[in-house]
Amino acid sequence: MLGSASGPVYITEMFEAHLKKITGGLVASLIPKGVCGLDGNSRDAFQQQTSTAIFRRFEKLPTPTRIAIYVLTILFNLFSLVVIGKTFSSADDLARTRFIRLAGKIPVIPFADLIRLYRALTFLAVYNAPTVRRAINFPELETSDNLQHSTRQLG
Amino acid sequence: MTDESYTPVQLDCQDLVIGSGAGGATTAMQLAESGRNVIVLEEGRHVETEAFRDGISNLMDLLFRDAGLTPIIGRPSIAFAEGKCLGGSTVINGALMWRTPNSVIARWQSQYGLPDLSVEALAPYFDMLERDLSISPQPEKNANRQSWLLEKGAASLGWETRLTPRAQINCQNTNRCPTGCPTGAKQSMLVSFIPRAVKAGATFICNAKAEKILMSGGRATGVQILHGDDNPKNISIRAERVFVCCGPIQTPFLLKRSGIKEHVGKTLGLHLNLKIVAQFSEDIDPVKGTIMSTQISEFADQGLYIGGSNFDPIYLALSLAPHGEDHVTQVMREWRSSAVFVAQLRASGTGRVRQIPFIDQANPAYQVTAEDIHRIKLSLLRAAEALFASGARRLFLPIAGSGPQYDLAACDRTIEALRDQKRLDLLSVHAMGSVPMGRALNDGGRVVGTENLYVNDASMLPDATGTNPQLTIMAMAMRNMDRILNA
Repeated sequence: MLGSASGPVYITEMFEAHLKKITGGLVASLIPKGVCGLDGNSRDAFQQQTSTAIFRRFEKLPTPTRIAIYVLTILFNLFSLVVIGKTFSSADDLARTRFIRLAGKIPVIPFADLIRLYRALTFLAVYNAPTVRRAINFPELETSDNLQHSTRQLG
Repeated sequence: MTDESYTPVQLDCQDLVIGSGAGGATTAMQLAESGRNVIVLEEGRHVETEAFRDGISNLMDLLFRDAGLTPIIGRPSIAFAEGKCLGGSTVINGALMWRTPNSVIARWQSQYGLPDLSVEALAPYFDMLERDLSISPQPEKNANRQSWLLEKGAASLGWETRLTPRAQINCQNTNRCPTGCPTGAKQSMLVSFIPRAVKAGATFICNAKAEKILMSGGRATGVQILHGDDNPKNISIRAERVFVCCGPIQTPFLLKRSGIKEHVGKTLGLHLNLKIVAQFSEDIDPVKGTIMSTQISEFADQGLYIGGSNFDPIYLALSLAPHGEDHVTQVMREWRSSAVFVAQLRASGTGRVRQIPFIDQANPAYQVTAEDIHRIKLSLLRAAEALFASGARRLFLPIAGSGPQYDLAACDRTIEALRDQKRLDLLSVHAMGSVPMGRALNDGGRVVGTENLYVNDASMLPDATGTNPQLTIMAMAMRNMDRILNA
């Protein structure tokens, strides 16, 4: 398909698929272990949903910020080849966790900022998930005593 | 109010206000109520109060610039949160409304050649705003447990605390201030000055991004905008006067893009927020009551305040993020005995809002100074001291990988051992002073070298206030408008 009219679209799709794979690996490693409400199959499905959600959030960013994140993510993937002998996206869970620890200490390239960003977005997704919030018995707005009180007062 | 409906190519008005936050809404209201024909542009959407019941993640997408992912570049980079919606950052803040400290006004008068900007000159505006926005301390009976514990801890150390004045009418303690008040109790611009401006005849256009201020010699003749989300249209609006109120990052960026660069974007002042997670031995039900009812003000003269912060599993998890994946699950299981506190301090240096050629995006940058590091360490130590005195059994400091701290001595060691400042997890929700009075602006907010172009938002403050700046911004905006309208 390269060289045909749909070539650029195909390349974009390939690029996105590659980025999603790296993002998926990062999310899988950054979801806290033993989170209430996420186990087995639900965890796998959640990982996929979270990667997609993070990717969608990136798409809303201004182009320069988005490109900077994408470039840094790809560099992160390649750098893992140098450090642990495998690209991050193809490494196993243990190797990925080890590389995340090491990459955060690399001085020149801002991988620490990148990991911080992915970790924040992963945590945001995890603790925004209704199943997780229910599992820790967090009272939601609609059912909280405070709001019931306010709803009554407001009318 | 229009969203994305009919969009003519050219509009005319007497006064054009860009931005609808604390500065913009105040400006628009005063202009409209004095009988002027006013158009207000807002880059974000009009999100109604009813929508603030949605999930926090969705609301961050909807209400925050860059979905809350704006970085201030530096070592470390600082996460910066600002609103991008009708009402601006007033929709996503806690509505803490402090008068400008007298010492700050005195500094502005003497250091920046602003003799008319006195405590007495601002006092009537503070009075007016406190009345109009129902600003008052929260009733003590509504205070939540963590604020009460913090107050008790501070008292045992002999430290001064103060009740926090907030702009609210019958706050229902939904604990959702950072993603819009779902009951409309918080007196953000969305429910206060914007409706007043509309009633007085102002037209608000949302989803309208100001691209460039059109200048002819020293006069602003109008603004070129892009209107709409998916298929934005170019519109130009002609105006007799233009008021730029896009916030401390976007205002200098717009001015620079419009060729106005003298003293613009070179003096960005910040407050740095240090989030600390405290776990207590008993359940404190951190979602109950008014979160920010009290602050430790003992170190106010050094620009440091310590207080509670809004609570949700999301905010708790984000505050634990510097500690990796290891602790969050356990702390989250014990969320009822956990709380998030914040030490807010005035950064000692100034940052920049850069315009990079061919890149259509503001680039804020701030380099943490040696003085900042010293003050951050001191602030963390003081916060830790207060929290242990409040009965906390362990703390998580905003230092990557530092893990739980079980006593003050351990905190001291951890803080002292901090060598790599990149390990600090810094957040800012207050930026100001990027187009300062006394340098880029005259005493009334007019851009130096222009006849009819004004800045009337956080950018105009001469430097960082050290305390929550919304009331200062609004009082200064009102004062400027009175001077302009009475000229």
